[in-house]
Amino acid sequence: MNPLRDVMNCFTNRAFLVRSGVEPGINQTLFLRNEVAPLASPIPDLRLYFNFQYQVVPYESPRDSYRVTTTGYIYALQLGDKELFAYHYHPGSRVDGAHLHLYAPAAHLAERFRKAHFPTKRIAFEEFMVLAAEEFGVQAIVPYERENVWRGILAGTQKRFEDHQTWSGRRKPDA
Amino acid sequence: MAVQVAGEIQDLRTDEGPEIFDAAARRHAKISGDEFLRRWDDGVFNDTEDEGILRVVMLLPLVRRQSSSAAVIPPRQRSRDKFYEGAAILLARASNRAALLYAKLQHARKDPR
Repeated sequence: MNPLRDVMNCFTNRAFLVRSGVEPGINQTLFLRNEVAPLASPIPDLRLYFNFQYQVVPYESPRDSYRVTTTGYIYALQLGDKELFAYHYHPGSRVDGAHLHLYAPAAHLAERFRKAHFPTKRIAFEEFMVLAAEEFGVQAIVPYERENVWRGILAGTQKRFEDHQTWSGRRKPDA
Repeated sequence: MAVQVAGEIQDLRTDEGPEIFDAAARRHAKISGDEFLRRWDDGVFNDTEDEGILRVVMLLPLVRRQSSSAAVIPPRQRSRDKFYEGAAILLARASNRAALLYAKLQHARKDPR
């Protein structure tokens, strides 16, 4: 979970992350104690909502070593209390696969957009933060902003994530 | 209570889970955490498109030990879904048989041999 912490620390110095536990085989959650963390940006009052669900599972071999597997997530960018967009993965619900919610400003489409599940591949938290930085002006904080240090950190943590990734987040094919 | 340092991951104390869950339920569903759990078990929250409800659901690991991944469908709804699924299969089978019977009858009418 430290890579997630490292990514978050590039963009906010007010992330109070809490994890529910590390007992193997039990669904756990890593979340922000204040639910959101403020992000630095020219857009005022931009906030990150973050909830990452995981399980600690033993490796086949050696049996006394463990890894963390993702069991769900919500990463959302919000303006004050209003969400702009959110990447979701919450299997077991009506929508099994990873997906995107866009919160459209057009009033007549707002409800349709709010409920639509735009399918995506599984989104790494790093990809989410690069999107926030590149499209919404979220800025890395000191000292990570210098010479784009944060990009190097994110590239490294994302590579580690992809090297160990065991599933894509694609919707299960209909039977 | 240990003061949490920003930027670090803190382990939840056992007594904190219900408090945080309760606060989230009050914020997003305007009910207590206990009431949320009662309604959740009764399958009242079947609209996981409701972002607020989902945010409370994502905190279920704070108050429930679950081995399944992010079990988003409430237990009672899950058994209801199973019931409807079973009923739909039976209906489909019955309607297939009826369609087959009807086709046979039509065929028999056209060709009495």
